[in-house]
Amino acid sequence: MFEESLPTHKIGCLAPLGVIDNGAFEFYRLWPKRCMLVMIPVGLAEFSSTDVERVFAPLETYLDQLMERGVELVIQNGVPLPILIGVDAHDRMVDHMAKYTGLPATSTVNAVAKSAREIGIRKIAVANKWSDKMNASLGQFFAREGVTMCGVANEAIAPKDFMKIGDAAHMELAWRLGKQAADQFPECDGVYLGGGSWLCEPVAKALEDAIGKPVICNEAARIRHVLQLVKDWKPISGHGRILAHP
Amino acid sequence: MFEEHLPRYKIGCLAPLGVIGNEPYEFYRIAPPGIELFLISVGLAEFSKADVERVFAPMKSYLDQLTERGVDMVIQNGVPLPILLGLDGHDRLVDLMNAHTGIPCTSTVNAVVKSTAEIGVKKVVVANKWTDEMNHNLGLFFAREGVDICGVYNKSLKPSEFLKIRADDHMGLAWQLGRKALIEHPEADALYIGGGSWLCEPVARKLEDEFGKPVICNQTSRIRHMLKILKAWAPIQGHGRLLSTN
Repeated sequence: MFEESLPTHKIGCLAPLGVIDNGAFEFYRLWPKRCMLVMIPVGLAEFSSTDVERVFAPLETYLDQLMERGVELVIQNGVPLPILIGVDAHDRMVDHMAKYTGLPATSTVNAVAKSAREIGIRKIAVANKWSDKMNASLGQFFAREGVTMCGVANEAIAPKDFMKIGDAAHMELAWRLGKQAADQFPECDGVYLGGGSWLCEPVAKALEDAIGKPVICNEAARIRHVLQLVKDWKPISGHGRILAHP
Repeated sequence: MFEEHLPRYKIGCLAPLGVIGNEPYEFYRIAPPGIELFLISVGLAEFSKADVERVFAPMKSYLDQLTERGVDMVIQNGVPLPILLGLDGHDRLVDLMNAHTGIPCTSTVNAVVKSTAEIGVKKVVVANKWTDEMNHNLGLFFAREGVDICGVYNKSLKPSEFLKIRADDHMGLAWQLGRKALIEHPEADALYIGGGSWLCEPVARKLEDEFGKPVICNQTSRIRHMLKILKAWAPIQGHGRLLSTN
């Protein structure tokens, strides 16, 4: 009776922080179709492997809650969490998510690295608020997709600090770091603007126009990757190259 | 530099359950663009006063997380929580939220009863999954806005039960309860379908078309009430009478 109002897809999301904010706002703006995010905020408080282990301790409870709501896929959102625990622990976690739920399972870091490769990037410069150690780990996720991280422009800031940055200043910081990455590493053929606490997609699009190279952000990579997994992917125009690329 | 991409308003929401799905899905589909929700799930597990008190124990911590993100107002979502607390408990809660944040604070139950009164309803029949005792308390919230509950059509279910109902069956249940409520209480000049765990706005519209009376649901009353608080209210067409009536 209400078929036309039902969501066509329900995506289970483990959101990284304690508050659901930009991820849903940007998702529904970029992909305003009948795809529902079913979200659990896991409440990461600091960038440490100990805190990642704390927030994922009740992983099976989260997955039970998502499954009883009928999701068709589960994604672990937030790149800092897997890069803090490393490639092997990330893979074990995603494997466990898939095995426990019987559903496709993935992560934002998978979405980013796979999307970069798919659109033909071989050398990528990254810009973010993460530590050098975290960026070294991020490089391993890119490397296994055949993408070399050729440079980093970062300003390491803890979550409790960057959450207090105003939206405009936060977007300008993303712009400044992204531009710095592109300028300092001209050999790159793409830039990845990491992080979900700034509204990144408009910055990525402006940066693409300025540097003439693809700029990847989490939300766009996630939409591309998730829609591929649920077999509903079609290029989306008007929001930058990662979504426009077939 | 990115002014046109910044949210015009930021709304802090205390979402009732542990998983967040329907609220942002319906909100971003219906509300004017440029309004961003910041959601914290408080994790109610059962319909009891003790559980409401448990989930609101860290209230100041929730509010701090929302205010540090620069929200313009805060709303406590989920009608069962205040009707389990009662009028006085609800009012104390909203007063605390106001005093702690210094910004406008309200609740979904406020949104529902104020919106109902604003569109001229004097007798409302209600349909929901709550207990008789909860519906008695709900009547006290309506009464202080000058609205009488003239009938209740309920099928009492626990959150652990109704969260497992498929989305299409859940909408069918809302329609069935709402329809019977309107048939059995022809003296009602409107229907309120309570609850946010079903996608209710399409059901409300269908019942309005069939019975020619306003049908109120949480999402539409929340959007109307919040936009009024933010002084951004203008009627919205295509989503039922509550939003199309000035």
